[in-house]
Amino acid sequence: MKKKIHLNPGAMYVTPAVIVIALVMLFPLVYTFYLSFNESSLYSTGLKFVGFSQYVKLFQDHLFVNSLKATFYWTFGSVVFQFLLGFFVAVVLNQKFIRYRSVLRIFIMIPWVLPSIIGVNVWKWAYHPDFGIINYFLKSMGLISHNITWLSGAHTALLSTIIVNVWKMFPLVMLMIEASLQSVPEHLKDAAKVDGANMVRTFFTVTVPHISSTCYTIIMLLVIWTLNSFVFVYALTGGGPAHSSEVMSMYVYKYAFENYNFGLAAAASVVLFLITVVFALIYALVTMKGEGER
Amino acid sequence: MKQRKMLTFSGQTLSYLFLLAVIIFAIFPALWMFVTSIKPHSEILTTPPRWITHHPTLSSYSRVLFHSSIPRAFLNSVVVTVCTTILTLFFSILAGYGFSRYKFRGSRTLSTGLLFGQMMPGVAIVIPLYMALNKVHLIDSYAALVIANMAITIPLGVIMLRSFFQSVPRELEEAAKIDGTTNLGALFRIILPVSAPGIIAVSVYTFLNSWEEFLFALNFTNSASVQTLPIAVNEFSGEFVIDWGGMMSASVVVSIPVLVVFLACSKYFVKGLADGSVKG
Repeated sequence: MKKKIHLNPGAMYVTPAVIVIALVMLFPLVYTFYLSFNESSLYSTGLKFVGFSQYVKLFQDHLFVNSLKATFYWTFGSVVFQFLLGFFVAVVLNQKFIRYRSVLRIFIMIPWVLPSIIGVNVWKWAYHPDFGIINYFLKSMGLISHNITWLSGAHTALLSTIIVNVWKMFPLVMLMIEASLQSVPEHLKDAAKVDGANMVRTFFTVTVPHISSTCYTIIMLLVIWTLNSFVFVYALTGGGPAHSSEVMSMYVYKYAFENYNFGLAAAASVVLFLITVVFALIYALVTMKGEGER
Repeated sequence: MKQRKMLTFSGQTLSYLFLLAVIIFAIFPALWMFVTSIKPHSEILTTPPRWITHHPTLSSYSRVLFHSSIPRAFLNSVVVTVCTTILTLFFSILAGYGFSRYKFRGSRTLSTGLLFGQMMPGVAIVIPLYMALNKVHLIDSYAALVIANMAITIPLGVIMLRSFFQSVPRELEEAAKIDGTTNLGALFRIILPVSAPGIIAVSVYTFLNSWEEFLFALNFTNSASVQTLPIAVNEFSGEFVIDWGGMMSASVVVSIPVLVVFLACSKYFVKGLADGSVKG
């Protein structure tokens, strides 16, 4: 007798995607945790269980501690300026009198659309100490007197990399802020105007509260993306000079694919992952709260 | 009254000036890339650098097109991107439909999981993926890149399509089902055609993402027959010398498809992305 298996059709539609994600996302993640408790190297086959000793080694490595600091500056600097610039541009662009708004928006979107590695290489060329357009421009404006070694100076490397990251991501912030600005009901703004509030006041009492939960969401996403970005640092500075811009993703890459120390690299990426999870949880809380209000 | 008008006028001028400055900041690298790409070799390394060139040439382009790995990498990128996009669409359409129309045990957990999946760092999965792909001898193959890319593209694809399908009225399908169409038939004949903007948004997003994917391509490929454009472009920087002219022309070649697709689909894409990323 054939037994009829009763499957919910919804589950059937979802299953293929779930299997793929389990294989390429969930399994690797779990395996990273597992690896971080093992020792592995290029020369030995197989893994040796070593408990927490990779983590002990990790936090004794001053380069790792240094990468934590670099990651903090990198993330904080990038997110603050990405958000402020994106927010401000969105607000200015959304004023009623602005003409050709969609054309302007397309121009502003270009950094985000260009492949990261392309943007990175063009900036690298523009940053060139002798032949770069940035030093030339700043000198002809009289702002600097001698050429600055942007990407190879210990004090400027991380900053220069942050500028590229801001350039790349502020358009997306603008786009998301714009979407939420347009969701502010006109009648609320009109009501404020009737009550005698001027433009600035209306903005802060009506618009800002309405879009604040979107803003938190965007900031959390930016933090997560920046924590885990790799290509900017890899291609601009390689983590140098003297590890001054070596963020955690770069540290993981070096230990995994240059030294083939998978165990230690896995431990470092678990730390990075846990930091990400903290922000992802905040993100989830903010989003759910936002949905509850709607 | 007149003063008030002057005030708004200067406010408007300031706004436009600010936007002008932002646009210059946004597009100057692209312009500088283009200018460098058409400069003759002798004009590239000059002090001071020249904003424009009086002797435009295509010599850098001919180097890129005939004496570099770029054409082959272009083909590789097309293969990887097309495969990733088709597979991502297939999985996300089914899953997006399932999530938007049915409630089942675990559906809420799964869709929260997707939200997290969308944010998972490539760095956290790159090591085990490398080891796994190595074990099944897929390192240095198109399949390796397509598989890894899907880890990034499917979660957002599902999220975007789910919210899109939710906005399609159920009555449309009900009518079709009364006429005897199956669930799957309703999905393909009724829902997909009206969801074209959502499908386009997901396709463009997936295309952009796999076209520029760098971390996996760097670590999972090593021969010119599989390497994609982002890696090939980077090869213009040697150990000591960088061929800036070649690199900039290669960059133009890599950017053109992206700009064309973006300009053609910006209408759908901008909205779909804003919806998908903000609403989650």
